[in-house]
Amino acid sequence: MRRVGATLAIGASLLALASPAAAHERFIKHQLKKPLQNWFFGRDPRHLLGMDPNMLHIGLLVTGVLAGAIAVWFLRERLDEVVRYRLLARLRGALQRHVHNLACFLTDKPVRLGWFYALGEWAVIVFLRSPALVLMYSATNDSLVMPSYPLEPSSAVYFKFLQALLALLILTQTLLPLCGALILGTWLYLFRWGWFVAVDALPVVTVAVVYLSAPWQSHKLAITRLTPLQTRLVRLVLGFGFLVLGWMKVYNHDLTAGVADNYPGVMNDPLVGLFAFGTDAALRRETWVVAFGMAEVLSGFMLMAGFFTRFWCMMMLWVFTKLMLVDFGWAEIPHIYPIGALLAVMASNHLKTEFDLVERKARALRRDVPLRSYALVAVSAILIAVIAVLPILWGLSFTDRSLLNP
Amino acid sequence: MTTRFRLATPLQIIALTVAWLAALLLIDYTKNPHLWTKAPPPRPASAPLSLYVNHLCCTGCLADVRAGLQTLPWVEPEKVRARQGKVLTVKEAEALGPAGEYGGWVDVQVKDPGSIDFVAVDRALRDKGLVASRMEFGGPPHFRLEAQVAHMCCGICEDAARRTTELTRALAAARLLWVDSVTADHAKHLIIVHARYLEPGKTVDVSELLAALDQVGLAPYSLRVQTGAEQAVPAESPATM
Repeated sequence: MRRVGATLAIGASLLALASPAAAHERFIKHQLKKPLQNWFFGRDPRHLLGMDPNMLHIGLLVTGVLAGAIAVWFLRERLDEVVRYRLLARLRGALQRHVHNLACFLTDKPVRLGWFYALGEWAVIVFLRSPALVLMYSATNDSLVMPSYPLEPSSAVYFKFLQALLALLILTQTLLPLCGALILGTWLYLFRWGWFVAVDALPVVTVAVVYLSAPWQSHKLAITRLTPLQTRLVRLVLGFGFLVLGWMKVYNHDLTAGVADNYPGVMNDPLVGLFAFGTDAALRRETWVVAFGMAEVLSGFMLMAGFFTRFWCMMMLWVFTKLMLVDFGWAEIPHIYPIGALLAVMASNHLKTEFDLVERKARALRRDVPLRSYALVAVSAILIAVIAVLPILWGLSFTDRSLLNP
Repeated sequence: MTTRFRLATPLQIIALTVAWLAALLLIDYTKNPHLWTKAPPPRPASAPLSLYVNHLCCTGCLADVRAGLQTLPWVEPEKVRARQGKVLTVKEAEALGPAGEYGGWVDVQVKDPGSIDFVAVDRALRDKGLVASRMEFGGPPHFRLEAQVAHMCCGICEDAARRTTELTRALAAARLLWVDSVTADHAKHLIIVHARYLEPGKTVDVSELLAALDQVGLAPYSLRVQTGAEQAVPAESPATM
C-alpha cells in the first residue's frame, strides 16, 4: 500500500506541475456569428430560483420527461405482464415472437436472437478496435487523441509516433491492459491543457476500462463479448461522459451556439425542440443551447443509471451518425468511436439498472400494499429526476463564464 | 499447451498509467519549453494591431522593426512597442547565448484602424529582413477586409477567390475560423472577406488570410480593414462559403 501511495503522490505532483493553457480548439467551425444574450444564463433575482423563466421551463420539462421515463421503467414488470398476457397471448407464430423480442429489446431484457448476438459480437470488435482509427486519424492531423487538440510542432513527431504505436497495439489486440493504462495516462495528460479538454475527452476513457480488465495475453483471444462487469463499467463511464458533456454545453454556451451558427441544421432536432417547446421565441438560440445540453444530460443520465439503456443508445446512435454523415461530415469521423461504444452497449444482453433497489422494494410492496408500491415508484422517479437535473442547472446560473473563449 | 491468462493488478495499472503520464509530460517539458514559461503580458486593448515577429531577440531587432514600420505613414514609430517590456541590448543578448525562443510580440498603436494595410506591413518588415508570422487585428466588432489584387481576369479567378478557405482547406485547418464569407468582384479586382462578429478583447490573425490568398494564387497588393457600411454584393458573385 505504501508503494501505491507513493506512486499516487508522484502522479499528483506531476499533475500539480502542469499549468493550464488555452490550446483547446474544436475541429469544426464554432465562432459565433452574433453574440448570445449572456444575461439569460446568469442570475436573475426577479424570478423563481433566480433563473430565467425560460431556462427553468426547460429544466422542469426535462425533469418531467425524465421522471416519466423512470416511472415507466420501474413499472415495466407490470407493463410486461400486460404485453405478455393481454397482447402476446392473442398472437401466434412469427408475429408473437417479433413483438416479444421487441418488448425484450425495449426493456433491456436479453434478446435471444442469432443475428442480435452476432451484431453484439461485431459491435464489441468495432468498439475495441475503433480507437486505433481515431488515434491514426489524429496523428495524421497533427493532433492528440482527437482533432480538437492540435499538437505543438516542436513535439508533434513524438506524440504522433506514440499514437501510431498505441494504435498498432490496439489493432493487433496486443497487451490490452497496457493500452488501457496508456489511454488513461494520455487522458490525465490532457489536464495539462485545462480541465475543459480532459472533460471533452472523457468518453475516450470508456474503452480503457475494457482494455484494463482484459488479460495480458489478449493477442491470443478473440474478444467478442463484454462481461457483465465490463458492460456495466462501459455503460457507467460512457453515460457519465455524456452527462458531463451535456452540462458543459450549457456552461460553455458560446461554443455550443457557435457550432449551431455555423451548422444551422443541428438546431432542427425533435427532442431538443420538445425541450424548448413553449419558450420565448426571441431567445431561440439561448433556449436551444440549454435544451441541447439538457438532451445530452438526459441521455447520459439514462445510460449511466441503466434506464431504457437500449432505447437511449439507439437515440444517441442516430444523433451521432447524423452528425457525422449529415451535419458535419468528414470532420467528425472520430464519432465512429462513440458509435462503436453505443452499439456494443445496445447489443449487450447484460444490461441492468443502478436503481434495482427501488424495483425490488416496489415488487415486495406490490402484493400487500399496491398503492404504496405506486407511491414509492412515483416519489422515487420524481426525486431521482429532480436531483439529476435541477440542482446543477441552478448551480450553473451562479458561474462566471466571462473568461470562456469559444 | 494451455495458456494461463493473467489480469493486470491495480498496482500494475497505476504504475503504468503514472509512468506514461510522466513520459508525456517529460516530452512536453523538454520539447515545448515555451509552453511552460510564464504567460506573456496581455495584449494592450488600445493597440488594434499586434505583430508576432519571428525574430526579436534584442534592441537591434526592435530598431529594425520600428525602422521598417516607420515607412508606413499611418504608423507612429514611438508607438511601436515590444509587449515583453524590457528588450535585451545587443551586448546583453550576445552574452546570454542560445535560447529556446527568439520571437516576440510587437504592439502597434494606430489612430485609424481603417488605414492599416496588412500587405504593406508585411513588405515593410520583409524589406528589413524580418517576418511577422502572426498579424493580430482587434477592436471593431464588425469589419471586413478588402484585398486589392492585380490579377483577376475572369469569372474563374473570381470563383477561386470566393472559395479561398475551401480551396486551402489543409492550410485552413483550425485556422480562418473567424472568416464568415468571401465575395469577389473581378471587374474591380477586389476580394472582400467578411469577418464574424468579434467579441471585445478578441483578435483575428490576418496573416492566415494572406497565406490562404497566396495559396490560391491571388496575392493582394493591399489588404485593408473596412468598418463602414457595406457596398451591395455584386449580383453575379453570391456571398456564400
